[in-house]
Amino acid sequence: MIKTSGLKKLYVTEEVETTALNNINIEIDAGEFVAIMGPSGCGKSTLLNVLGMLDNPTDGEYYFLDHEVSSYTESQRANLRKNNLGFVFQSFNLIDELTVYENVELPLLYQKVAPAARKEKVMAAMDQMSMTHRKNHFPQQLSGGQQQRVAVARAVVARPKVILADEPTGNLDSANGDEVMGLLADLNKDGTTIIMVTHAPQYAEYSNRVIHLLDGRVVSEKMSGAGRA
Amino acid sequence: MLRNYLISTLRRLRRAKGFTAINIIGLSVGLTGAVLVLLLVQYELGFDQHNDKLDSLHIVINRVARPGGSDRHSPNVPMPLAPELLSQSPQIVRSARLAIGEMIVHGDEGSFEEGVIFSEPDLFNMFSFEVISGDPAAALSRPDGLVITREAALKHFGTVDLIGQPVALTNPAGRNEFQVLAVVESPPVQSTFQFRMVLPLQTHFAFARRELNWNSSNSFLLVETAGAVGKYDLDETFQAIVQKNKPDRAHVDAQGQQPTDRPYWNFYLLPFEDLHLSAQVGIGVDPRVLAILAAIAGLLLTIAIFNFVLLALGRLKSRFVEVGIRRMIGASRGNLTAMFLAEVLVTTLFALGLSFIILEFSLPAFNRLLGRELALGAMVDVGFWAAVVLLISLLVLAAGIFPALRLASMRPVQAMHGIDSASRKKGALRVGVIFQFSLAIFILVTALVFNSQMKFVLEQPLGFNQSQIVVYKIATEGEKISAWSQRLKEVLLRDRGVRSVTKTSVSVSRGFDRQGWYDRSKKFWRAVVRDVDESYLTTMEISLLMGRDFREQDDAEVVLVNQTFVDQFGLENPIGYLLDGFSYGAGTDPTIIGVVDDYNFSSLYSKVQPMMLRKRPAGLYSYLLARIAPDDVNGTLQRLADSWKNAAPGIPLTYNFLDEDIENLYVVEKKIRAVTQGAAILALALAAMGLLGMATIEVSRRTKEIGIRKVLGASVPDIMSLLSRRMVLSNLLANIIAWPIGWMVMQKWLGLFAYRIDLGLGTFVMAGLLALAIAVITVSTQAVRAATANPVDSLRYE
Ligand SMILES: Nc1ncnc2c1ncn2[C@@H]1O[C@H](COP(=O)(O)OP(=O)(O)O)[C@@H](O)[C@H]1O
Ligand SMILES: [Mg+2]
Repeated sequence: MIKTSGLKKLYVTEEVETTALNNINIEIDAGEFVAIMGPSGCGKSTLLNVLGMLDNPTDGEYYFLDHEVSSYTESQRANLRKNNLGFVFQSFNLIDELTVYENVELPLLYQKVAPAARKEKVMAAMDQMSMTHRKNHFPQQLSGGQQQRVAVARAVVARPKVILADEPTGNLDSANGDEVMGLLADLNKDGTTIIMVTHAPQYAEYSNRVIHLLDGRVVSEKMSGAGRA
Repeated sequence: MLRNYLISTLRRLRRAKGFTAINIIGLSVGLTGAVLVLLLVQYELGFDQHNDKLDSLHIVINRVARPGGSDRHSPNVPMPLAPELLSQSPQIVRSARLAIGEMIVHGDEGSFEEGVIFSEPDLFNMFSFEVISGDPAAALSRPDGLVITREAALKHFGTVDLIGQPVALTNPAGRNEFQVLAVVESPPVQSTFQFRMVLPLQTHFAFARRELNWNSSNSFLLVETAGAVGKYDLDETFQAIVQKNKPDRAHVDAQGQQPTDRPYWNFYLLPFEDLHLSAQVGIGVDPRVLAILAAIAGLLLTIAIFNFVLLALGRLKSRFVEVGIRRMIGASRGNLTAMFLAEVLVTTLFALGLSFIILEFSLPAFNRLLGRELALGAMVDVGFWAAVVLLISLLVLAAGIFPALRLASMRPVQAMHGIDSASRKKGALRVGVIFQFSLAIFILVTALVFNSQMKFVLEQPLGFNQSQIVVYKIATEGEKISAWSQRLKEVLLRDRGVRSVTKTSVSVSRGFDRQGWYDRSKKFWRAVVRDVDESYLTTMEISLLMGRDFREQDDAEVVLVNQTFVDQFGLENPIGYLLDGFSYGAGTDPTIIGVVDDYNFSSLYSKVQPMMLRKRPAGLYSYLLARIAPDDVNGTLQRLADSWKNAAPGIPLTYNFLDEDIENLYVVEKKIRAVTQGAAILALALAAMGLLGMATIEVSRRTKEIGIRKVLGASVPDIMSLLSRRMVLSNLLANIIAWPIGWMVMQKWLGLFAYRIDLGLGTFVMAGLLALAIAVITVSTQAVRAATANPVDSLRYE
């Protein structure tokens, strides 16, 4: 489903040139739950962004569902993204001016889903995340855990093939963190591919494979938790 | 403290280069306009100030009562008023009558027509003109004395050393010898009286007819008073004079009716100082034109101020942390307000500097357009600088106070954390953008309406074919005009490029040559009377509605009239109607032989008047109108010029195209049109710059939101429409404000024209759409950048 070869990402600023990713070769199959780990600044987010087509690699090839997308334009990438990918971020990234319901509905609007089907899907996703009772609240009126549940609901509402999560528990206490991880694990059981960046070893246990990065390189790939079983 | 303000201000201005540029350019354009208006107002106020006795100088104005409309204030008064006034009123010390005319000067360099004024000796004892040699007052007390200016002396004789020089001059009354008895400097440009030659009043060709005639108001009357005399102080004296002399026209209007219960004629003394800016008299500059210019400058400044305020408000957020820190370490609200105002002041001073540079380069062009001699160096005095300082202070307050107060009212802790306590109150900003749009639309509406009205006026069917007609002026003695006009008509007709030629007394004019008469039944008639010949209708292509055209053998016993004449005087069978009383018993009264279609023989500010066309053997045919073939116009003109010079070496060759003459009736309008168009373009450019700034702010404020939406699948067009939506909405709301105001203002202006366009919705829609297009384009440049950026780039800004 996902395959990279020789993937490289350079950040060139006025003072320094940072190699955020250096010769990344990985392959991820449909249905996997992959965790990416490594110290701060090693390139985890960069990798996730490239895999999520939010950014282009500087060099190398990236196959997503057999499309070689490394040189796609933003509008081509946008098209692939909206039909296949869902995102969850550490900082939730909800739109403050929209209600919970409207936030969750947004991806469907951009996919031009018909109103009736839209309502059904939004309600289903919110139900799954137990957020239905908060649908008319604004993000600021919710706790961090609730906000992240909304973000997850938004990520899954369009039934994407892959969910990319960048430290989804980073801003949450452990109770809330556990709950979000449980949600992701459930989604994975239902067949959604999950790629997640995390710092916490206990959450890496939810995955079936852990990719360790250091200074932009893959240093190890291990089967883990679910994978070993 | 001040140093700290200054340094941080300069750094901030440098960091936000784009916004700084928008502010400085906008303010400098507005300031340029404002300074220009200041210079112009100062210039106009300086008119006639060179006269030492200005305080005691007046001009007699006749306020003519009109039943329906507003009274007419005419500077033209009957000649016999002067001696009456002098003898009746001890407050009048001196007087000088003044008439304007033309003379042909036969000088060393050939014969040229020259505008001259005719006046009396005391003119030079009342008004201050610089004398080079001789005694101008003495010159005017002799019947053959001549006062000439340096400029005219050099033109005609190549020297100013002319005292005693005989000069031959020709006017309609004949050729006469004069003697130069005084040479003076040309009047200063800021003098109402402009002349190149001054001749004794009694040498005016019509002096004998007018000297004792109370029915002819044809000369100015200037008086010097002893001490201060109020405008209406002499009212009773004037009324007594009018009563005593019982002039016919002092009591009746055009229809022979006593128009109002007030007297028809009302003389008063207008201080000469006020003449130049009197809109009622209309000799100098109409202060309303100055008001229009001031309004335009004000509009530009307003737009610039709005840009400033909107951009400042939009960027407040970027300063919260700084403000929080300053407040935490002890800055008071006053300190912060002062700090922000200091920033505005610095920006404004930069703008002022730039505007002086712009002025330096653009003054020559303005001067050419306005026919003025404005200059930065000579004209600026303390008053000017005081006005500039006042302007700058107002500007700083207008642009700075609102953002300054908003900034200063931040609560320290919130400010520290970049929380805008008023972030939900974006109202001011929205309203500001809407207002900005309204201004732009209003300006567009004005420019579009002005343009189409002027186009309409210039392309209005005049009732005759104005193109390809060349107007030749025959300047010679009155008794010779008739013969010369016939002779030169034949000369012109001989050329193969000439289709037809007609003789006439007037080509086009803004005023009227009207005559009034009573018929047997004491009914009063009044009509414009023109002398023409039998080729007039065919040459001008005027259609004949009834009866017949002139024939070659016709004389003054038959006339043509226009349709308005027939309508106004209710003639049921105009053909054969005898216009009895027209000749006041001094000849045969004419009979109407034909009716012509109304054609417009003056400015389109006024409706067509009743008109009579005469054909007199001894008519004052001062003009030849020649219709020429459209091909090889230049060749034809050249050949005609050559034949003219051969046939009439003593008559100066002056010609121009009739359509140019007609266009010249609208010189002021054209200048105003040029100014409004220029201002409209500038205003739109400024407004667009402001919108660009706003769009930049909006996009950067919503960067994160845009990123999230893109991650969730928003396409490039989705983002574009998201960002443009608010602009489009503001634009639509702005139309609601701008349309009614624009409609009212333009309706009022169009009301000045007798022939005018109808205000259609189209103009307004067009203005709205244009403003919308500008907005969408400016916003799009920003939106495209945001929409096509990598989503990560947008998300990183949190
Ligand atoms: N936009 C950018 N410009 C320059 N350097 C960047 C940019 N984004 C990330 N980097 C650098 O790239 C490296 C990898 O960053 P990142 O992928 O965010 O690390 P992390 O593993 O903590 O998520 C870091 O050294 C970071 O400083
Ligand atoms: Mg990271």
